[in-house]
Amino acid sequence: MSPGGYVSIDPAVMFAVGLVAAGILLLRGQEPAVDDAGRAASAERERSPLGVLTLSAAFLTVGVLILLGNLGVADITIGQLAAACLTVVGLGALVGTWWGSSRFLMVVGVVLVPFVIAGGFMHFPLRGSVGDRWLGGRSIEAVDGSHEILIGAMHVNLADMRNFEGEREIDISMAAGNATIFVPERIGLTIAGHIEWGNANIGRGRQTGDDLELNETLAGTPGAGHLTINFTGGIASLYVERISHEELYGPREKREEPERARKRNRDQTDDSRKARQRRRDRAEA
Amino acid sequence: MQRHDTDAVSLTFGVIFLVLGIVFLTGSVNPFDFVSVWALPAGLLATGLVLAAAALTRYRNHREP
Repeated sequence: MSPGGYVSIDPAVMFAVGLVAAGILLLRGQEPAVDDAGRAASAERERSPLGVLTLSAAFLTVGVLILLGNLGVADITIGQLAAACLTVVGLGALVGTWWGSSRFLMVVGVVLVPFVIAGGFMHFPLRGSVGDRWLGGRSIEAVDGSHEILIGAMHVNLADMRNFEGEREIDISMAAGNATIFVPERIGLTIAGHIEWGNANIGRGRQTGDDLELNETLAGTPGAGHLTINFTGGIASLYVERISHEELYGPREKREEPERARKRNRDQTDDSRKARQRRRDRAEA
Repeated sequence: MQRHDTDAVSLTFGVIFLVLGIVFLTGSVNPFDFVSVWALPAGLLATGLVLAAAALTRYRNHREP
């Protein structure tokens, strides 16, 4: 409410309401005039339940498949779930060829097709984390040995890792997403695995395309540990780099710069305060 | 649901969806290979057949009074 007691309405809201009202009026104007016989005929004509029945069958199928996968009865992949859904929609459309009406199933099917094709690259079960996952630490013991990502990004920063000796393996499974892995320069590194479709940047090597086989070994300095990363990706991008702490974060002088800048600001503030005080004293004198 | 004449659109989409669904349900197909080796030629063949059938039907209907 405005200060004067009037109710104020946002012009954008009024415009939107006007558009909706115009749309409704236009739609009403498009309705064909029907006589009594037409009205009676349309009342007799019932809506076909085929579309809704097909959709419910698709939901039931996918739900049962997910349950079977979660119970460990069968290995159901993401691609198979989408394909099963499309199969049911296709069956519904075929029934609609002779019985009932199912035109909106075409829309559902067309929307599903890209997911089915993308799912063809994802031979992974429907489990794992969704979203970003960050891993890091100074000790290799702090890093879990196995990670499953459904959709999202994974950032592994082991550049600060110290006292790593011996062998260690990390398994990463990623249905869709990207992984960035930084490891210290001194340690040995082996990247093994497979990417269905995407790209892999490991050190100076780069691969792009489908069916990428990963098998890269980079030797470390003598006495340092060796890390093996087993990466399995669907639609995935992998970036691995051996990097020093300074390369990743910059030299230590730069990191101290904010503190120096704060001190400089503080000094300047003090100087200006003193100058103001001097001017005030002079004015009073 | 009442029986009606054959709906060609439903038939076409139904067959396409069913074939795609079954092929990907088996999980042993590479999408790139499927599109380039099977889907593209099959789509072109189907389009040609449908166009030919439509032209013949229209020609027949035009000739018959």
